[in-house]
Amino acid sequence: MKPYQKILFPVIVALQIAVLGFMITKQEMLLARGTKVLLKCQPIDPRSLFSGDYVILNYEISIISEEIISKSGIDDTYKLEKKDIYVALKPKPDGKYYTAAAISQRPDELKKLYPIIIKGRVEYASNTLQIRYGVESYFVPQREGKIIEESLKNVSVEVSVSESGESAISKLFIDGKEVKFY
Amino acid sequence: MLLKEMSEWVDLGLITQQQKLKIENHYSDAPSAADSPVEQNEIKTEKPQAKERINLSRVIIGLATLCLAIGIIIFYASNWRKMPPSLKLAQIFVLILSTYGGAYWFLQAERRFSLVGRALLLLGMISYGTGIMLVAQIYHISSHPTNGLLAWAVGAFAISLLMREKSGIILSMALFIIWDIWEYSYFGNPGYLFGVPVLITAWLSWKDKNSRGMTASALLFAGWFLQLAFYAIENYATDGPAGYILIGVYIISGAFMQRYGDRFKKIPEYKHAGTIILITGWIAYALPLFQIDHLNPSTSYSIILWASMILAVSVILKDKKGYYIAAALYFIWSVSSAIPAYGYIIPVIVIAVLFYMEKDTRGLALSAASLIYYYYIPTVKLIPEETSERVLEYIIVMLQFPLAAVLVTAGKSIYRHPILGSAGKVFTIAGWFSLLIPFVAISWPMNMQNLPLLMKFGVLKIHAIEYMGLTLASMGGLFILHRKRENITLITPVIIFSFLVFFLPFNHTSTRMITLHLGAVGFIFLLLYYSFLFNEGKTFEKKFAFIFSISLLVIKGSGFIGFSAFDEKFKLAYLIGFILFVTVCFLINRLVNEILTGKGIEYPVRFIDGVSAAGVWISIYLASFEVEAQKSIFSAESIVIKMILIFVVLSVLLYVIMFKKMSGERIILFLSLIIFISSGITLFTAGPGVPWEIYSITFNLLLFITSAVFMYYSTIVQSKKILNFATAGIIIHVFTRYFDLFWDMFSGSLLFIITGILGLAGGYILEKKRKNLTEMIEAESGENQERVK
Repeated sequence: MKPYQKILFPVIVALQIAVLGFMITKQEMLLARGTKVLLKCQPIDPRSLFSGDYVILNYEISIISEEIISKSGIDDTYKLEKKDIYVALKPKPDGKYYTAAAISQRPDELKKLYPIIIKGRVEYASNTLQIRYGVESYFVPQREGKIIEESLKNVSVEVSVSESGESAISKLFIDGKEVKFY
Repeated sequence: MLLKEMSEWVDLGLITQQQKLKIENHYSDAPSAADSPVEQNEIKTEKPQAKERINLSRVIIGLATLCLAIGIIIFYASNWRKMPPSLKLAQIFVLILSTYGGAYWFLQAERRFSLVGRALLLLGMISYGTGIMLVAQIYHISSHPTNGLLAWAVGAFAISLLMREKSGIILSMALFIIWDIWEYSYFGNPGYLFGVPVLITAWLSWKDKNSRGMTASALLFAGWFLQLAFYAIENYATDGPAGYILIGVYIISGAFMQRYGDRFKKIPEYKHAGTIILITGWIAYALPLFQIDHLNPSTSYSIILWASMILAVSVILKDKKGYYIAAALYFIWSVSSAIPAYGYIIPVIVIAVLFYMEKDTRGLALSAASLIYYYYIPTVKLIPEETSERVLEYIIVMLQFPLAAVLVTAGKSIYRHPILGSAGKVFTIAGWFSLLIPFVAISWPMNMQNLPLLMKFGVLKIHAIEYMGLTLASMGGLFILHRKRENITLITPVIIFSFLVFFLPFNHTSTRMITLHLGAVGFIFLLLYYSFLFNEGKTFEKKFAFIFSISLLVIKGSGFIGFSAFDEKFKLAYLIGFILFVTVCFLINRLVNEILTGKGIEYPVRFIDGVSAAGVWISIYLASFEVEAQKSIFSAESIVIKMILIFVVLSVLLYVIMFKKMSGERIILFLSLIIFISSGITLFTAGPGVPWEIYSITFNLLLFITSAVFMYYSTIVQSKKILNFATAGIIIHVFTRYFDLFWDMFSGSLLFIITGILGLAGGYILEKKRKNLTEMIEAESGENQERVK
């Protein structure tokens, strides 16, 4: 090895470690400091989407209804396709679960009216909007996803949401009981 | 081997260039000192062998690294539940640090375990990537998966770049490519950054004079450039200044690429890279068209004007390049024109005449191709409107028969002409390919009942006249060719077949299937036999004989295998049907070989042998898995049974002939007979009552017999290639059964990891031996130096 390689090699390795460290810290901070909201899952069609080692989760807030879209003052939904979007969350009447209240492409405006906003991306736009938030995959040990998948309508997920709308899965419940895989 | 390794030693700084030369001299002195010619001969024959010999430690370490890499990835992907996430994270950090640490240790020049070091370096990169995937898994991150990929690619690229580790650069480029495609297609990002690693790789390959690296970089660069261009067209192009500026950018970058592509092409190492850049330059010239098309699709008249202007100016300036551009533009007009471009024939002829006057054979070849293309414009447009899309396709496919007849006849009549010869070649090639089309396109049991009969001159009157007209024209041509004493043996059957098809009810499935399959088998024999019998040198017919046979084998094979996956109840019937088809092709190939060798003509029997062997092996392999209860073949449609009977009879006939004729290499014939008989028995006995284990045992046994016979056969004919294929066959077979029966990700990963560690240890020992050898040579060269002094 040449001298510069001797020096730069540990530097690059340290940077790679730092990348991993950064990813972990970011998630841990999000989980520790974010606001916890409980979201209800909904079964999806086709049912068997369990593929390999993770379960695809689908939430009530994954589809934004026409009512909310028009209430938020958006008339051309197609323009939003493949774009980032912010969704304001409010507690449901039962006080336990959260649901979508309004949407906007500008988070600051939403923030003035609602305390909790979550960032997502419009996957598919029609009269309604289909949104991905980045909390749709739940990784499980090989061949153990069936339990979650079969009872998807009784599954709820606790998501930690940061000030800026970043989100991460913190806990998964089936019939109100937390499930852990290790 | 030594020479190659020594260059590595020089790179690593173990020995200097001078020392290397001295060692080379030391070794090359020895043979030249030997006077006896016998010994020199021996050395000559040994040389190419030495080149082929493989460095064992390199192979072992390579395979071990691969095993370990797969093992590590699968281990964490299996998400083993007995281990808490924090421990997994700690583990991956230890793994990353220890692999990189090991690499750092072993790559120190004084340790000389470069191979082990490089293997560990690559494993370090894999561990880093696994770490990223593990974090995503533990925290269930799924928002922007490409970011993790990018982080992995950048990290791996940085360390590979630093250590000049080629395999790492290949790994990271692959990651970059996946990242770029994902970002572009799914997230709609242009991928500006993708150019950075591409340009760095190009620069590195340029510095190392690495021809393959340059070619790969050029390809990636071309992809990147076009991606950006299309992104701009989709997102930024307007019918105003922005669009005009973009056109300027395309043309200027195209000009640059033309210039540098041409320059690269002249350097032998960068020939391919140069060609790729040159082609990209041409595409850049054409990019404005894509933009025009994207913005306003109804501008075909301006294209005519554009083309005519270029043509006129080129005629005045006598610039041949302009003819080509004009020809291309007229072609684009004919494609994009809203009304049928009947007028396209005028520029085609004008430009052909210009090319003839210039004696430009390449241009005339292009004109010939344009003429063939023009044939389709009225043919497609003259079909009555009420005809369905399907019938249109079928009639076009059927018209390939007389078209083939006319084209091969026309090709044959002008192929000797000094200027028109190239056009003749184009006709010949296009003609033969036209013949292939119906055999692969409509030789399937689809429903073609709506196809009107040609001989009734009904709805498709014009096309029936066209069909007969073309056939009669080719007959006339045949007569002239015969008078000119040209060889017409291969053309005649094409014309006869075309004539015959006219009167056959091709809407009737059985008639069509039987005619086309017998025709295919017949043409395979005729083409293989006669193209070699008249030893006319390198004719296209010789190549086409193999193209025809192998295309049919491959396409029929994909069809049969596709059906077998789709139609579970008749899975075995489809696979065995293909085995029957392959058997007939294989026997014809062998028969042709037997007759030709008897006449003292050399015939490359191995081509079709190889494809047949692969086809049969894949069919048996696919049949060796667990299957659903099969339906009896007798409950299938009657056409299936007819086809099977025809092919069984054909095979039996060919076997009888072959066993009488064939002298050597009978073992292969026996093998094919065993496969033929056992799969035949399975075909007819299969039914709902038979348990799947019986099929599985039969085909697993056949698979083993096939591999074993090929291994034995490879020793008879002394072919390392066949041996390698047979070994690969056995390995795949054993692995498949292992995974069938025992597969579970966690234990699978352990298997890979243990194999990998054992392999690496073995490689380490081998390298240690090599190190000793190095020392020995160094000592020797030291002595030499002293002796010189």
